[in-house]
Amino acid sequence: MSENLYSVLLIEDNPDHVELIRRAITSGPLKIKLTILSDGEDALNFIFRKGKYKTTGNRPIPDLILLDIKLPKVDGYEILRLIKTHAKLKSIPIIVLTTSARKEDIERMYQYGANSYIIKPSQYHEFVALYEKIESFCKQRFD
Amino acid sequence: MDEIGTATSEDNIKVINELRSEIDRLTFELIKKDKKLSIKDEEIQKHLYTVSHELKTPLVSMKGFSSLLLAFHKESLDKEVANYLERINRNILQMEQLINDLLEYTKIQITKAEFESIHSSTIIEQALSELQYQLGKNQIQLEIEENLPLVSCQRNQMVRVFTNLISNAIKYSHKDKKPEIKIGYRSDEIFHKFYVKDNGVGIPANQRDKLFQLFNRLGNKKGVSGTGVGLAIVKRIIEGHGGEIWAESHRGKGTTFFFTLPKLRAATQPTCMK
Repeated sequence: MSENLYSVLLIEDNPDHVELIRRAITSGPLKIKLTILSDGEDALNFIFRKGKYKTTGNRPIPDLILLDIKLPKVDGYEILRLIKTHAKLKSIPIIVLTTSARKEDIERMYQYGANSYIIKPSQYHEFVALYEKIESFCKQRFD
Repeated sequence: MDEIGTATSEDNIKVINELRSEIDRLTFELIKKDKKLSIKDEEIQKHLYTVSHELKTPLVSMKGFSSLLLAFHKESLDKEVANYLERINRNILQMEQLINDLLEYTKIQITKAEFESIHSSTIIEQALSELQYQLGKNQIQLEIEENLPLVSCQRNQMVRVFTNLISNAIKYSHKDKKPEIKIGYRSDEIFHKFYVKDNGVGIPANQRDKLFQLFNRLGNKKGVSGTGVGLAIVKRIIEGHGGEIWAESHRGKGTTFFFTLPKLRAATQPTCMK
């Protein structure tokens, strides 16, 4: 069993969805340090170490970002675009969390550089699927 | 006589010119109004999509928490509480289906650029393979005519038409009869005319004019699940292809859905036999 501690950033503004995703993430043996941010601007400051996060020391870059699309202040597409066009940060895998299975929405997420997408979990098998996807991305990071 | 004749012909030319410019003016008005209506329709579809999508957000939470309770805490719950929770969960699933169908409805866009020339028997085969389980479970006796034509259409949407019509025929079968479904075809100069006929319960007379409206459920047959969006989807697809759809029904004897698709030059060639 892996002893690595993986750093996962969840950007999601709906507290109920946060709780459901947190539940999925912590359902397996993977050791995860979960950071939760609820608005797009705050998330960008955190990732790019700006604003109130400028002087908070040497935090590790997240191993994985879970990103909602509809966010206050800055939406998920813009966050995706900014990370995926940044030389140092573009290698961070981003899983988009969505309630939409619409082909056009999914194509747009990939166009903006998403590594994967997952329908927000609301049934047992979906919780398991989300955990497995997170596990697979985290482990790839350390391989 | 000549003078009168010349005057009459000049008058005629004047009248014809006036009529022409009136026709031009009305055509222009019509095009303008049609464009406005299309924009309005697009806006309504967009709003409907947004509303449907927004409704999904609280639904994810409701479904998520009730599923978690049932998955991890069912044993520790009082029997009555567990039963109520299951009822809540069932209703959430039904609501989710409704929203998904509504999203599906708003998503339908028929664009000629995506039309392909395809044999209708291929479309029907694809629809039947999607319904394989229901057809087998309900022991449906299926008859498909052999003179099916080549059509020009958006393939997936046309599969959806047949899937919805056949699925309807299965759902509303008569409990005292061996269910039979017949899929057939007639042709005239301008249109391909398909039909899906069943020997089911039929549609009550007072329901027939609302048949293709959103959220209209056919009759009230016990145990039939559905959201009342399926036939509205079918109508939208057929009309998007330039065709028409209607139904003939006899209570207790069955229903036949007819729909037409315009023949295009490519499709007016001799029909391929299945």
